[in-house]
Amino acid sequence: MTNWSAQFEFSRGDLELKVDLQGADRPLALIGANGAGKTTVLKILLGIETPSSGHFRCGEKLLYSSEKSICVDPENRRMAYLPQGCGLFPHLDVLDNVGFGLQTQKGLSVSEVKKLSLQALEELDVSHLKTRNPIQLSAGERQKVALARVLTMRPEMILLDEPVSALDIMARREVREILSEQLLELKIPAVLVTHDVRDVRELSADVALLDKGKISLQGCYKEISERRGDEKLHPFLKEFLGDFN
Amino acid sequence: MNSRTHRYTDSRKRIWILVAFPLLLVLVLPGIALLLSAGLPAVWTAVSDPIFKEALLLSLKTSILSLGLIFFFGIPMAWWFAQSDSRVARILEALVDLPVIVPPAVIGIGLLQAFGRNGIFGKVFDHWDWGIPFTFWAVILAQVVIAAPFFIRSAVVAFRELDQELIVVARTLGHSPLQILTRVVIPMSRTGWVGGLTLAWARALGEFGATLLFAGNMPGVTQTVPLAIYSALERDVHVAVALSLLLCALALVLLFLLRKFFVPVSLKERP
Repeated sequence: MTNWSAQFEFSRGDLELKVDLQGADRPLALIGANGAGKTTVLKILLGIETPSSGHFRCGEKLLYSSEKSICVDPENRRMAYLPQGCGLFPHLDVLDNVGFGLQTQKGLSVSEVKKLSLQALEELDVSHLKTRNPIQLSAGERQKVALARVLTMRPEMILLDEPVSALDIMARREVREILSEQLLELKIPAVLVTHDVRDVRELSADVALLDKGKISLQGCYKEISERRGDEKLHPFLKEFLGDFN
Repeated sequence: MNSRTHRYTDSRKRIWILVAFPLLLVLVLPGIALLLSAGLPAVWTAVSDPIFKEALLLSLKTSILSLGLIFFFGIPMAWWFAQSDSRVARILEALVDLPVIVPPAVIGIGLLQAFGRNGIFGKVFDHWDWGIPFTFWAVILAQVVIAAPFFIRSAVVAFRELDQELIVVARTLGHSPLQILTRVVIPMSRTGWVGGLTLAWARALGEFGATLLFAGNMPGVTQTVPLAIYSALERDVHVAVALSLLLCALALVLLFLLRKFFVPVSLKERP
């Protein structure tokens, strides 16, 4: 089991964050209104944005500490990121996209990179797309290819930014199932930004609500959903849980 | 669409063509005039003139070398301008555009004031017995200063249009900033910066004013094709016309090759 914890302060323009999050192997769904700073939280965890103070630890690794002046570069954090638009490179075909991260791993020859990339594509049943360009794929296919790329990296943590928001209902269900299976198999922490309670349920994720720059609530989905009738429950959470039992 | 709508659209299109025609004519006319006035014997005389061969070789050599320098130093500069929010970067970005709006002759004088014997750096170079003005390197320097802004401007725009999420993804996949520049940024923005490189090459190939003032007009040393045309005008106008035509043809061939081999065919997007 990998425990992780992040506590930091960050300020840019109107956005001020004072975040305290922790988790283990169970995915954490970060929810909140548009503009609340959810994607910025992911970028801080990735090391793309630097907070003004705080710390971020994943397992034994201290990735950021203002006190100890530690800030590991994003390329050395071994954290996978799946953005809203999948983040596939349009100048590379599917196979090269999947192998893009493997190219940086020492000791792997070109043929080994290709072999491992193909294996990852086969695992997700999309190996027939290997010579295609990403812009020729459907949204669901793109998401699977992006997932294959993430999985080949054997990351220590996965960050997903609304991974199914651009998909149709059927593709959403399929990608959620794949995500759920893979996260269960990899047993690594994951943080997921979402607006859909189905993502939380399907991935058995914990929930953290980001409101006015702070984590106003963090807990198990089951416990929070049982409080649905509670008048003191945050209105955003009520709305989030509202249409689903 | 019924026939009346069709006719209306057609007549509207004709209005645009009519309005655009005078400008189009002015733009195309010099090329047509060159084609009509240069007879084959004159072209042959121009081609067989040793001065032309020397000038052509020098133009090709200097413009290609200038282009290499512009690319090598221009890419990191454009990437910095595109990524930085600093005021210094904004000011420098505006300054880099200066040679576009300032007449080339002014640039030539500026280069003389900087690298000439009595210039700011002149004494330093003189100390090493390495004078730049009126040498091969003066041609290069003049071309680089005049042509680089066209490349840098296009590259900055192309880099700014890149999806920043892809840069983030590339970093999380273990690539260093330098690897990202060479493996993601440069190939992905190719269409944009190749356009700028093409313009820069055309500008370097046709550079006249700054080269004349800073490098002089010495056959075999600093006389590029535009300067050879200028010299030919004093001897034989037909040779000058033929040289101009050949320069046009050369520029067209180079631009066509550059666009054919470096700009990818747009990929058909899935509906």
